[in-house]
Amino acid sequence: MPPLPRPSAPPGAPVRRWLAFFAVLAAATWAGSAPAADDDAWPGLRAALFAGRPIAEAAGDTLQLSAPYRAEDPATVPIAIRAGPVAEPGVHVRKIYLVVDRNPSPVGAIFTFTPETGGAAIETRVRIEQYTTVRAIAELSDGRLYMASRFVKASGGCSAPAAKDREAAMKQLGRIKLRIDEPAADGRPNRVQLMISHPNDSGLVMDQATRFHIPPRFIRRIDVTYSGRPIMAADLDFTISENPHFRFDFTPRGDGELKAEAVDSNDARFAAALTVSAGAVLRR
Amino acid sequence: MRGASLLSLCGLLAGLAGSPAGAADAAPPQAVAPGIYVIPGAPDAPSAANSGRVANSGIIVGQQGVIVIGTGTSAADGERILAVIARLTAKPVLLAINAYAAPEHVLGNGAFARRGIPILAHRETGRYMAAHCAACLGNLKEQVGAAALADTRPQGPDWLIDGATTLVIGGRRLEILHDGPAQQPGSIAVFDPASGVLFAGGLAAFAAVPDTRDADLAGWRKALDKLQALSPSLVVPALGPPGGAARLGETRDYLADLENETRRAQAAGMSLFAASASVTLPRYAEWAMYARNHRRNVHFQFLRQEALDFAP
Repeated sequence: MPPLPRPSAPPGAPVRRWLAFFAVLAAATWAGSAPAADDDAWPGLRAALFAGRPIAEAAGDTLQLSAPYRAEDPATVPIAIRAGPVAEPGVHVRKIYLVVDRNPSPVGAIFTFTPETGGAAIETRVRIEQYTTVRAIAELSDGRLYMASRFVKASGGCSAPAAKDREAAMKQLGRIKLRIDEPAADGRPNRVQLMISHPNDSGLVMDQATRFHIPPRFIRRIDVTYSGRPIMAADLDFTISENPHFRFDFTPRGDGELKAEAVDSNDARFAAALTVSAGAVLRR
Repeated sequence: MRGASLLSLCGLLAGLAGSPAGAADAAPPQAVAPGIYVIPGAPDAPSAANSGRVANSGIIVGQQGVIVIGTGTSAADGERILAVIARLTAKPVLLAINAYAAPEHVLGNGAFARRGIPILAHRETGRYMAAHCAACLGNLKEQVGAAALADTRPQGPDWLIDGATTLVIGGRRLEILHDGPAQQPGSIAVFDPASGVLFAGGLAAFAAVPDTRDADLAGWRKALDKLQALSPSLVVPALGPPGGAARLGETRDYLADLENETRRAQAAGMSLFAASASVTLPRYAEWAMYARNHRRNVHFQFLRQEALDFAP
């Protein structure tokens, strides 16, 4: 499949390296001592991700971030990010960064959108290790940055034991559910749901039987295409919850094949596809 | 919001009602059958006012000794239960039972272990406690304050069972019931055939919303049917006052409504966040723990139903 357009960086590796760098940096901090409540990880993250570029506070519907103030479960905290339409013609939302300041690996996801997507809106679920600010930063194709943030009370999400029946979960590892709302209207936003059966192990959970930590293994990259054209991609890490789940808007233009490919940190690859034909969705 | 303010009002009233001595002693034990007592908990969110004592503990006094079901919510609470028993009888405590894994039911284990009293639980409950108790103690500390949990440490069971069994202990024959995953993977109930009293553990909550976080709803409903078929003379639930066997239907109805309404929200294309905010069950809104447990129950039910999609 064709590589995603990456105006600001060569494809693939650099973003992944950033994620890995933050994971290691943060894990080191985290293992040393829990930061005090007033520790502020953001200035360092901001400098590393965006250097000196100005970041505007999102106003109105420029960028909306929804998250519960007090989470029902720290291991599955629902997050919804929606960027409003961009006024300037020819400019679109290119990336949305999802940052959980006080997580062991704060840069949880970097979503990439294209003009083909037809809007930048994404929902997922994250793990939250301790009370934290959660941020969404939208990067426009002209380089402007907007940020929305929320404080979320949740703790222990990264080190919480995952699947109740691990053996059963591993048997269906990598199974993908891909859905698009029907009828898949031509030229109007449709909601796509993508869910991957995967423990998304953080590496921070102890196996109670062996007393060893379960090694990290998580979905690190997702590519969604429509008839071969990229519509959404994501660089991810274990901040994303078990059974990674994403809902996003997509505006199909004409018939085509919607395809999702995922790769995990062990380089295992998974894929699913469905065909949109005159508004009807054919699974295969 | 209204639910939350009602809750805090209840907490305030409870705080006013309990003198310092009353807080230390909490509610006196109720005799429910010859030799059988319940130390009632007040089902509510754990708070500084109730020190986390929200669940019932059961006491069975046999000819040679005492069996305890539910060790309380802290080391101090475990000591309090042992002190209550010492006032009821001079017989030794022979066994403590963890029927399910929740802070209010197992965090008093330390007081029993310190005296060499064996603690019985299903193997799955032991596993669950090993995985969760440390984090869960931290969360409880935040809710009730560190003082109430002084000297409290996670303490697992040391007598593990793998299924239903009959226990002859202290001159009493007890049926330990387990029929697969239900409220939790290791849920058990304790039936005393001599009196007909059933300690349903986490399987039952009367006028209180149970915690369904780790539930297998189909297994739970099956377990409730089997408990009801025993025709117990009295059921002691985890939460809420003891009542007749027919009241097991309350828990079953809540589970069915939770499942149906959550499925409906999912079928309508609602997100996890939207569903847990909008799936309300007004029929149960007056129940204790509604504000604390219901929304979270929807959250976990939504995730469980979603995961079913992966089944081949």
